[in-house]
Amino acid sequence: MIKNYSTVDEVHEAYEKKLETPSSMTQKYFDQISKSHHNAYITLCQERAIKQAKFYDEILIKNQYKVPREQYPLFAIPMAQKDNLHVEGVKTTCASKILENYIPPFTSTVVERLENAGVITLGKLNMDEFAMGSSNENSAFGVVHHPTHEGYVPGGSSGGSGASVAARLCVASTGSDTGGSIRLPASFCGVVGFKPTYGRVSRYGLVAFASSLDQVGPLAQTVEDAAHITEVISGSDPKDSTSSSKPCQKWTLEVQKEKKQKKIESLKVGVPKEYFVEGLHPEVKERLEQCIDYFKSQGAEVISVNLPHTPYAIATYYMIALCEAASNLSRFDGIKFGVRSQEAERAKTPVEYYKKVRSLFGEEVKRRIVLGTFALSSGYREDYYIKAAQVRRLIRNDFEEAFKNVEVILSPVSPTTAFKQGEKCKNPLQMYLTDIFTIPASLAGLPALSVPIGNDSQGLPIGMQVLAARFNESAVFKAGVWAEKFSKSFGVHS
Amino acid sequence: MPIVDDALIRKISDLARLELSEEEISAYLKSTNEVLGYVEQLNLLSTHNIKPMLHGTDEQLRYRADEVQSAPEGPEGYSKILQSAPEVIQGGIKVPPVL
Repeated sequence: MIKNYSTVDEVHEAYEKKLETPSSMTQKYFDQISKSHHNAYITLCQERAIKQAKFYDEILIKNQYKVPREQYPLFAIPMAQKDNLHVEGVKTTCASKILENYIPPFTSTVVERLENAGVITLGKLNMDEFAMGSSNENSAFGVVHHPTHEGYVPGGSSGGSGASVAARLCVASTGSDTGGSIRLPASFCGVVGFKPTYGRVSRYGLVAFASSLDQVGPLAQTVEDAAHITEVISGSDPKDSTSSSKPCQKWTLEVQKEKKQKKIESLKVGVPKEYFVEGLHPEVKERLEQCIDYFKSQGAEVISVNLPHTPYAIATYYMIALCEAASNLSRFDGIKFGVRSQEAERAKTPVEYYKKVRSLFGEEVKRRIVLGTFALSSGYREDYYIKAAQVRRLIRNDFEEAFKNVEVILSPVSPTTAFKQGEKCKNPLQMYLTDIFTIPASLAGLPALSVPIGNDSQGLPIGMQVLAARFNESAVFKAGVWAEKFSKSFGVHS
Repeated sequence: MPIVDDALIRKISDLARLELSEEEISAYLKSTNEVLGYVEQLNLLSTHNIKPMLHGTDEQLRYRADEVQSAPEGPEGYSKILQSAPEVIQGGIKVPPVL
């Protein structure tokens, strides 16, 4: 039963007890994928994965069935990658028609580090086109279905990443988060999702959406696995000049130690009143308050904090993200890579040619390019883009002030649990409001974790968000462990 | 009062090299004005003397030496890069006649 092999430890134990080999484990996951109806994968890397697994089969035998954790911390762990992260020789589509045949000639730093640590890549995961969306209904390869509730969305844009982990179609996955794209699907699907501090993880080989916000991170069953994967992918990379040289901590070890603690030792927790506003679903609010009470009962000091510019975050984010997106997506011209349709071939002028090629962008992507191009155009740039960038600093200052008094901030991930397919498609602004609690941390570049804290009355997962100051991943994971303990006290999380 | 009108949407689409159908023009006109209307709230805030935050990091960007590092070399390297081009002719990228 694959359910028993859903964490790094469980998989390693199965190898050491000779219950499975890397090859049989990989095959089990492919079997599971072939039976699933979630549409979580765009491309399967069966041949490549089996080759990787055979390599680890031999190592396991040579090592007398002892997993070589020192050399390969993620030894033969079947994972899947969001389809905006390059893997050499494997298609990167970004869930877009414009890239449906694109095969990158290089591998992203994140995937390279994961595979060097032992990861077997099962395939590439479905997502909202170019990571633009909150429900994974914007993919050119079809919507991703919620892992347990038919007719509901898995959250976006890393919907395939969330659904695949929850439905046990991989042990863990990568996602990318620009305004909540890891945390929202993690919350909707009932798994752990982590967006590291901006600059902690290299963006080399990640197809850019909004470069000052994009960050790659893991989705997994447990906080420990999320910490483990973060540890592997973090750290300075000469190929990304925005990657930070700040030292990384031994987060896995820290999490393991914290799990053994009987009480929370010295943790100041902030609760922002601006996040408990009208529109927050009563069941989400109630469960979150219970979790905060649990933290208090376990020894944390809970105090109220102010983040006064929160109401301006969505407007700020959409201006900045859309301007950056319009600029980043200008590279898709159908000359050096991508799809060139016959219609484009018949174009009479270069402008007509570009337009024909770019008509392959989906509806939401075009909507955002139009908005971003407008906001960057002469006469409007100061009023929109620069104004938003100024407010962004105010939002960041709010957090810096708050983190003078607390180590972590607890909040909802989303105002509601997963919603129905089609419910918000026709109203883009309504869809953008889904990200109200995830966006501020993105603007400020903070580390942000989404951790399941139970289900609503329909059985849909509820997530809690944990934030900390930039580069304080340790505090986020520490609080994440206690959120997991809270969930276990309810008996809801595996 | 809408911020963007039909003519401006057409001009912007042209600048962004997007060919939009009449249906798309009217849909994007509506959503653009809706979003820009929502964004108007930022004007309630005084941002006088606030330095715009244009980057995700405060750290000084590191420069690396301008050296070729991992570009695929040799015939195999070229073919790797060329495999992502829409059309290839004699080891080069073929572009449409208009260009």
